[in-house]
Amino acid sequence: MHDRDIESLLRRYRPMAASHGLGDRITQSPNRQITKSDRTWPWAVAAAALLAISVGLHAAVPPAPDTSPLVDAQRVQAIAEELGGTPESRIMAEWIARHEALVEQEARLARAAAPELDRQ
Amino acid sequence: MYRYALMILADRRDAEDVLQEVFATVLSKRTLPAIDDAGAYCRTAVRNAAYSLLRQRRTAAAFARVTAPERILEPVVPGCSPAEQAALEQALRALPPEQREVVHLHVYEGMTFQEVANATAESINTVSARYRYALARLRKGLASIS
Repeated sequence: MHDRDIESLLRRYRPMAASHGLGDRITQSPNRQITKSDRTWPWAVAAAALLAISVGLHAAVPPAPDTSPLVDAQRVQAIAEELGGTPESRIMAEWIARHEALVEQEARLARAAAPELDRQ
Repeated sequence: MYRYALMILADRRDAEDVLQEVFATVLSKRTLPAIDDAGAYCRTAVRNAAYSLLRQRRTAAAFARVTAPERILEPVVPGCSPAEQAALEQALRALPPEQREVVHLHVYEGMTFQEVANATAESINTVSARYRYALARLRKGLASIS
């Protein structure tokens, strides 16, 4: 078996795609703690109990209004294409674009506040 | 990105964990560095998280799973036999992660050795040597089906 034979054998396959569940797992809990797969370790049980208490306490507090800036759809599309154009790429692209917009918004606010400070 | 993580880790659940960790980390950052190449940025993030997980696995060998390994490849052409696929997967799993990574980037992502070297922060000599060793080990592992 030569190198070319091995390479052509490899090219008859490709690594498996992510399961549909992964997209849901990421999109449905983007701001929560990372949820590991179904492996149960003793410390994981303790962590789960702590998390349950935290979530219970958090639920009692009304959520703050969403102040995240609007995301440029064209920018999302451009990043998603750079990442391969898959649905997962689009999710990642939205996150990156959202953070870029947030950074830009913060910079704008800082610039707006600067002249007032200068006047003082 | 998932396929890249899968080839480094050779474990579907670990690859999913890594992807989720990377997404969550990106989201949790208040500021991101200026990104010229989002693909390279994400690839590096996935790579770092995957190798970090591998280091944890090595130091926590007691948690090693004893269940049968899951499929990590899928056929892209008709006529692939299950025995051939199983042999190829077994041979790939037997490779060190660094060699699997080079195989993935070169064969499945079509990168040149120079591009692989840039993506992995290794020298081109190291990358080409890893690829050569990988093919040699695959050849040995696949001897039964040739």
